[in-house]
Amino acid sequence: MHARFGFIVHPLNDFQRRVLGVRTLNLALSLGHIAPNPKTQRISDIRVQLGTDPLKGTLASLPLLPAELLNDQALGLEHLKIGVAACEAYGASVIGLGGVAAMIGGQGKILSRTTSTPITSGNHLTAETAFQTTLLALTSSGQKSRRVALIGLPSPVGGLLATLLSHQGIALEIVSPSPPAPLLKKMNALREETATPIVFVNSISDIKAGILVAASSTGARIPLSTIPSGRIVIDVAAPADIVVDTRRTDVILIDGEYLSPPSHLTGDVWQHIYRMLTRQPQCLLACFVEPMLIAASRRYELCGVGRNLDLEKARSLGGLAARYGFLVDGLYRHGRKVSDEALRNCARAQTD
Amino acid sequence: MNQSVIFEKVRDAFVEALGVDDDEVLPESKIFDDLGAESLDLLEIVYLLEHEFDIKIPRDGIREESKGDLDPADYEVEGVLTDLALEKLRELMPEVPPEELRPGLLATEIPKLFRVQTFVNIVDRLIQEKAA
Repeated sequence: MHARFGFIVHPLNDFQRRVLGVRTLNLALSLGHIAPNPKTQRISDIRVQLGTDPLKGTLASLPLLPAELLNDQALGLEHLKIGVAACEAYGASVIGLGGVAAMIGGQGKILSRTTSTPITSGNHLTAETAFQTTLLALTSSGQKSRRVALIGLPSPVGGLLATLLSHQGIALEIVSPSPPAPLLKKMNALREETATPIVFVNSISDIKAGILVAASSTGARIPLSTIPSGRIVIDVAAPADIVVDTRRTDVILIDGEYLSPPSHLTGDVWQHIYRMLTRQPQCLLACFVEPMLIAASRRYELCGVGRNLDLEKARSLGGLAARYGFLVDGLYRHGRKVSDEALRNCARAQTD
Repeated sequence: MNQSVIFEKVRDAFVEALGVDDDEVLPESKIFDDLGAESLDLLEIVYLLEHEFDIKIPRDGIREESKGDLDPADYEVEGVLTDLALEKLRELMPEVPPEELRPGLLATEIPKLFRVQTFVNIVDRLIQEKAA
């Protein structure tokens, strides 16, 4: 029998908060007003069949928007503690953090010190999923050179992704106009360790690689119009790094942190609404899957908070994902599969 | 509280947030270029300092303070800081070499100028305001 998991989320915009108001029977919230002392509470329970046993979990939602969480982290942490208590009361033995909840308070570090229940930020499985997605993009698009450009470092996910790719023998172009000293040191050490080329380039326009992975921590706002022709862009960041400021048919955007579950998630209508609002109608975000895997396997040592990510944890979580049937089974954009033909046509459009 | 005590606690916050060694955190260290911080790390550093000193550090505090009562059009033009804005920033950030507050500087580039001393000065100012 699997252990239970919890996952703490928050509305991303005013509309989603109004939906939350309806769910929690908070009239003021549902009308777009901030009621005094809005509550954090459980909003939905979830089941997913893993093997012969169902895995059960619960969603708890903060009533705060991203800007509110970032502007008052102390308030955000108080709400997170309530969310943790609600998940613990449900019986969760591991709790994951979604969205900005995974960013504040040292990316979960401070919250993790307030409870004995393991807390996990989702970053390890996010990096591993981005790695699997990148490998799939390389093979599906028929790229001749095993070379990938990365932008967004020194983000923790970006850094771990660089390590995973370099260990796979993939040459890296790190886009960074003025790389900080610690990043230079880390990449030099990685280059020596793996004997795989790693170079720094000044801007996106300088990249030679056919695949660009964007993995900043907080949304780098890279206009799509600045991407060189014929590139496949994998956007791992949440909020997204790439701003679609124009329509391009010579650049393909891929969502970088989605996994297909082994079976449908079931539960009440609110878990369905949550997934629709967060673009997870079929595939699931890696940060959402991470606490599921840890609960199913009871491998609590794989929980991770803070900026220092561990290669072995990422690999172990990748192994668990495969074992339980959570797969990178295709390349998707907003829930729609991107065909291999489209990828190859895009790669052929590359002129440099 | 004198600045050397504030610096020690600010240094501890940077060590905790960035995982760097004590001796790597100097008052003149540029937090992004020298210490490898990124925007998420600033969140943690701000939280730790607010908790340590019982103060509230406003987001974009320096940028907002440098605007003062300037008309937005007198502060930046198409994202580029005006001479008036640069002058105000030189007053607010004496730890930054004046040549870095150069014509053509974008408003979005202000955080890239931050030193550890910038945070020491912010904390010092907020403590004094609180005490007043």
